[in-house]
Amino acid sequence: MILPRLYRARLFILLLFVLLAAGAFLSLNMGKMSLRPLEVVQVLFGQGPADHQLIVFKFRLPRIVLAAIVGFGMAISGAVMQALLRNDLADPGMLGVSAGSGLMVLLFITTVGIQGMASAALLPLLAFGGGLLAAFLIYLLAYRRNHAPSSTRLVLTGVAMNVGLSALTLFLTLKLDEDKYEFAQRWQAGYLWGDKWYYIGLLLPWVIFLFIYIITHSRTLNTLELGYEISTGLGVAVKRKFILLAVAAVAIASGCVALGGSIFFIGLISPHVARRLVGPDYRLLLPASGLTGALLLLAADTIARTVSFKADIPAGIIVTMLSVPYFLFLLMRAK
Amino acid sequence: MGKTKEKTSNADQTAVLPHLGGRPFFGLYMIIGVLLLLLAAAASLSFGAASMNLSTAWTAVFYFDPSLTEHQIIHSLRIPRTLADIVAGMSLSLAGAVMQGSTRNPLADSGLMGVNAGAAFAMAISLAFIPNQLYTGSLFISFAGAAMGAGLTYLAASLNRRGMTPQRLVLAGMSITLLFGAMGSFVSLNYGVGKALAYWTSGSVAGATLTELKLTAPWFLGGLALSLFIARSITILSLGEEIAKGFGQRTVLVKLLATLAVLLLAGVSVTLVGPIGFVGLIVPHIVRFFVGVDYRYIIPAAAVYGGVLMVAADLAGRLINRPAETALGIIFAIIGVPFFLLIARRERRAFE
Repeated sequence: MILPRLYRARLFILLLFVLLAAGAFLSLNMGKMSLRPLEVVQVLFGQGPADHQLIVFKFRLPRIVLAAIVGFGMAISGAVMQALLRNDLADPGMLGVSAGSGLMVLLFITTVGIQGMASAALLPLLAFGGGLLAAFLIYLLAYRRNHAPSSTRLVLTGVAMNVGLSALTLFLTLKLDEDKYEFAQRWQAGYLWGDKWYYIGLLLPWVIFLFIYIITHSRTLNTLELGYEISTGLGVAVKRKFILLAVAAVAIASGCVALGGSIFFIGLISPHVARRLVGPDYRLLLPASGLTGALLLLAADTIARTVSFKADIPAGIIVTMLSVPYFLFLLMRAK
Repeated sequence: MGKTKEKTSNADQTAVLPHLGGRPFFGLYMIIGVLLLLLAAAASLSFGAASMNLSTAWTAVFYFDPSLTEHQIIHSLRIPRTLADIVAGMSLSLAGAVMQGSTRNPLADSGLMGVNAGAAFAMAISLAFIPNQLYTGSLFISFAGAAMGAGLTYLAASLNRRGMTPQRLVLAGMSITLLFGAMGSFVSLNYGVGKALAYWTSGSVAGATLTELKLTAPWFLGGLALSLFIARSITILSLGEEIAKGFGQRTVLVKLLATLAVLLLAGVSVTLVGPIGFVGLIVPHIVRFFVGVDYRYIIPAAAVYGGVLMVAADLAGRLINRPAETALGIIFAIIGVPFFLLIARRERRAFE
């Protein structure tokens, strides 16, 4: 049966949503102590023994929700950056925006430490500040008078920024004691450490609000992808929209980075997968890539949680290992 | 190291090459470079956590007296360290120059090409599974890791039908670095060797010994000889592949030899000082400014000035907050990032 493109795309989005829900349910069953599906259903309806309730509501559910939000946010941010830079290989991780957020968070952890509610509220803001600073620096360094922003220059500048910020981060981590060092290392590798309900309560509105802002601009993104000159011709205020959307993308990424660590590649891979499913229209692409990202990170985190390694392995490591081959494949075919 | 011999079999080559950069001052630059190197080495022998004057360093080198503590410090710590600096600096710059010439990529640098990450991953494995092993063992392991990282990056960047572009090489290097980084942290988290690995990763020559130097010397000399040997072919290759083919050059062979030289040299430096980026990027660009675009001049000059820069940077790292040391990798990242941006900005024609 051949459906019109729009219906097919909507069907795919629905399918992704169902998959995500099913994945979350499956993930609830899995872990160091496995529960049977029936037991999970019981717990979800407020019954079942207290220890099962503890496992599900205190440990697994927050982690799953966080994985989904972080994956969603990173993917949206990546999709927006790819449209703005008109470069399929752009991603907050690659561009050094995550590294900027990371440096800020690390500075905070090394000087103050992570305790209580105040730091939970402060961390995403600090990460936002760091990410914005890095993005601003990249933009400034790649900026040339009387020229539209050049994507190649922005990408190269971003890579350099990434290397420099990583060196600074390394410099800081060397001064940490063994415990804090381990936390920093995990965090850098993309560890979903903020799996507490109050962290999620802060992150969720942030992501939803920004997502709504971005999706109302999906037509602008469609136009921008045609090229800056064409967009100007079509009546888009390129510079203003570029900056606003870039800030939104950085904001959404840095919120996720603050609680999920620097997870590379989700923002890069998900829009690609989504593009294959629903096509290039950003009105459909944005939700599809967000859901793909959520699904990917959820899967990676479930693997990290379930397979028993000696230590608790950050989900970001698994994401990177799975997605570098795909990235290299994209690189091979890129024009 | 004087001018490379001008023996030509092909008349066309002689017609083109002298115009590229028959710099009359090349000899002068080399002499200045060697003098600077000697000066930097002398300073590196005398200054450090314990400061001594130049005459102490001189007598320690030439009239060694085992009963003096200062002579002992210089002999057992500072001489190997300075030599390691020189060898590593030379290797990195040579590798950078050869890469930049043979790939026609102004942003090529062994640190950005997955070499360091590969070596770091191999080190993580060796720290986790075979601790307390001999130097020779870890030497060969990091060497193998470096080769693997560089090989994969080259492969990934060149498999595209349209060939290797600077941007593609940088992105491939970046993603290979991330991949090895992820696998490295996987291993180090699993076996609790993170901190040990981080020290190694930040790059230090403090632990260099004469044994290590002796072990790497043949590889270094091999890489040096090979890059001088192919310098002329690289100049032609740097004009463009079609032109090189037109001159009758076997470009595939030259590229293979260049890759071999890069692997040897990058491996040597990574085993001696750990993963350090940007030296191979910076030095050839500075040298090119003085001696022109001919790789017959760039390659020897890059070797000498690479040694100078490395010794100077290490000395700075020792002196900035004495008696603690600042890691070399961090110093070079601080110098290197602005430099990278400058080059990426200036050579915009290549990227747009």
